[in-house]
Amino acid sequence: MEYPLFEVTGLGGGMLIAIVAIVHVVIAQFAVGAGIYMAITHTVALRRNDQLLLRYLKDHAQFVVLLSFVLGALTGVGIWVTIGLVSPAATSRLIHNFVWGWAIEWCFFAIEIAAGYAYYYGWGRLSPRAHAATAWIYGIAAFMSLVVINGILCFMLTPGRWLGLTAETGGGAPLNPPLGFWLGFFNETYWPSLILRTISCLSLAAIFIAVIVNLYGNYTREERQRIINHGAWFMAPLVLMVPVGWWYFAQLPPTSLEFLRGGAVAMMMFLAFGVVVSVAIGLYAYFGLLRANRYVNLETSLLLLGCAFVATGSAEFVREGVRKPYVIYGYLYSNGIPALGEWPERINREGILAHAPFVLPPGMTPEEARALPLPEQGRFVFQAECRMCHELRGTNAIRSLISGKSRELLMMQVKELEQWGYMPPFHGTEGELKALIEYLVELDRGSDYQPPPPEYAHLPVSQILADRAEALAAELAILGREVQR
Amino acid sequence: MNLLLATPPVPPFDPLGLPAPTWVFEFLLALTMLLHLLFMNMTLGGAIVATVLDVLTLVRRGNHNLTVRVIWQMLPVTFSFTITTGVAPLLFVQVLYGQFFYTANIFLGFVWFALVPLLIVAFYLTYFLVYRLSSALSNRLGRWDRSPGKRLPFSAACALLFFTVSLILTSNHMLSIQPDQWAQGGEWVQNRLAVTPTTTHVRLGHNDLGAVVVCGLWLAGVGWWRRWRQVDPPEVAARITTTGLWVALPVMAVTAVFGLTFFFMLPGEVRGGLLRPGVYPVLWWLGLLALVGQIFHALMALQRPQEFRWFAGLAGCAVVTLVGMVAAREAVRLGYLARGELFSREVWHQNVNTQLSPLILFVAMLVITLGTVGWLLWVSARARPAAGSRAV
Repeated sequence: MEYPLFEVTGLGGGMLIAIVAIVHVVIAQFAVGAGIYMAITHTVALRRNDQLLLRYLKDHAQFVVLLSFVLGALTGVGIWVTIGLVSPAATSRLIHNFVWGWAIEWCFFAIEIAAGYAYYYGWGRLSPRAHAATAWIYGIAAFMSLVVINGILCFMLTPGRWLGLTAETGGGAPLNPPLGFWLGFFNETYWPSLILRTISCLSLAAIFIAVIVNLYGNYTREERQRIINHGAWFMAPLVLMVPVGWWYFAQLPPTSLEFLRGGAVAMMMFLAFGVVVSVAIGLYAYFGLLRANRYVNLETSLLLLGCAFVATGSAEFVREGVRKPYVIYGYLYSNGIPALGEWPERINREGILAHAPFVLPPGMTPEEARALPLPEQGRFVFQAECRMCHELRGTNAIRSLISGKSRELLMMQVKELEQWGYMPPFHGTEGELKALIEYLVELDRGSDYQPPPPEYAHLPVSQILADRAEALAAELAILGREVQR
Repeated sequence: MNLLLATPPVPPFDPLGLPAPTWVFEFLLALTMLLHLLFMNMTLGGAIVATVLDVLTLVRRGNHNLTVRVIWQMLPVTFSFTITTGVAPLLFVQVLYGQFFYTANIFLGFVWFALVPLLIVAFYLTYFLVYRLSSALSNRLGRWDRSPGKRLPFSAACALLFFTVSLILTSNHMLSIQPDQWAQGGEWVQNRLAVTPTTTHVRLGHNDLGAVVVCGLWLAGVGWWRRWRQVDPPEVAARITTTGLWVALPVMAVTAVFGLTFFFMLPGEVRGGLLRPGVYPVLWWLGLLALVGQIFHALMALQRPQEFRWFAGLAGCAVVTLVGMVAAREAVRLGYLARGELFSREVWHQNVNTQLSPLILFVAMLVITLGTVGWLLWVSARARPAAGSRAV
């Protein structure tokens, strides 16, 4: 609302976040699982003097550096860049509430990078004890970064008692700021989510081991099989996925649960995909790898990785989706309008255009905007309230949602948007609502209502209206001549 | 309707306020920016210097193969630390100046987003090149150690990518401190670099040439280190040191000229902010003074490359200069934002809601991090290649 809009025509900002985030989550979770695997396996291999596992760990470390330290780290930066572009208000709130959480996570990240390089370059140079210590430091730091970031991610869906504290100050900082931090951090879904993510990290690491050992061509088939079967033990915690998942979903807000029970078919389907694929991977790990000690070739390991990607992507999609209509549950709507305090009432009284200066051309005041024809005003209202989630064509296309609907039906639906569950209510004056409906009607007729050309920005509004009237008169004259013919 | 954006709309300060007193964030922003500059300058400057040295080797102006290899061996690690240390100032900038920062990001749009793919490509190009060079650390023999012609396209591509990233970051910073530039030609800026070109170019030139200087100083230190650790014969290590110092010294002079030009291009009231009493101006003046110290120590190190004290003094002076540059950057930012009363530090002071226990935890964690990273560096530095590893 208060920030300009980053337009990703056709795709939508939400999809851009999803693409970057899912790639990052898969790599970041692999990095955490790989760290735990490295620490445990290094110690075990040293004790057993298992030269094969030690040889593999060197390749494993190189792969971690090349994937996690490059693509993982940079897609992490990519998430920051993308959420700042698409949802600046939500990003700002999260940063101001959890800056110390993020700063602590940054410390773990710095340790992780330093330890990762020390481990990778330490082969043949560090003493066995120091080398094992670097592996453990890497593993612990990687896991702790998950412990921290998990709190912030869960907060967005279940801010819990923090919401009550911030409501007391009308959406500002809680009266007891440290208590607000901790209550928001250790929220309802924190513990089940941490366990679920840890299981996911370990499973991803096990699957990646099958990929890595097949990619590096310096192992015999028997050696590959032994490394893969050893790594498969890290998928054993998958057995906990279903009960912990149940615990997680039991903590969700009622409306979110309603979506998953069929209220939002897409959410339900994605959840089903995620569960089915996770269970399938778990069954394959148990029967194929742990009981039958089967060998996994490169193609199969890539297929398994693809399945894990789908499962992780589905889980993340569901986690994001069930938060609707909020971006921070109960606190900030997905279109950036605050849900608490005086804001909803104030916007209804003063109008959305008075609080969304960047949807208007530079220098135009809300009063000047209100003097424009209704569909043009409506276009500004659409930009301020709807465009963050709805493209004209493409993702969540507004055209297909309004197609063929009468003015009255549109009016009724927009007035009762919150009844849909996943839509934020309309905020604004009666006049803005009418303007929005007129814009939607025009849009359905096929007119995109492009903004006035830049030169208009320098002209007084009376001049713009006079120009428009002149253009309209000219069009009518042409039409009249056509009719006469 | 206003013809010019005399008072551009600035989003309101975040309703949750600052979770610690202002000075804490200003200090952390400066500290982490300093750390970032140390690594970023080596990475950006390293790619530029390696490219130039390859060209010089190709046109038979000396043989710089070893120095180029030493640069590329360091780049993956300095690149990683550039990213890691870059995250922290990004975090603290959002806390203090979020309303300006996000708005500038959005106006740059896809240009801002392009940072991510550009950095990914640059990082993998770096590794591509590194794995074609010998490395004693990784016990690897490379094929391109003596092939500047093969290296050149890749190092030039890396340098170009890093330069583009620095252009985007500089433009974003300039746009974030000049809200009056948010609208141009009657429209909000959208998906393009949109800042006063001359100022940006001069600032960019100052930053990127400064990176070359820092890279030269890094090289000088690495040359001394390799001599001390007997990685190379003394005359070979001295060549790396000499190359580094001969890169740093003349470029330092050009960087100073760019800095001076930028200073005089600043609007009067912004320039005045650097001349008034205050913490930032004092640090800036100290930084300028340390520049003289750098030149003195660099000249002494050229004459006596075996003596540690000149390198230690040089490193100390370089860090003080970088502190001065960070301080100047913040003073200039505040000076620009104070114009037109778009921003006042009062906004911060009125909105402090200290989260004490998380803050204490962070400080403890920062100490643990410094200790752990220090220990990791110490054990890595003491380690020697195992017997039987290939000497390269």
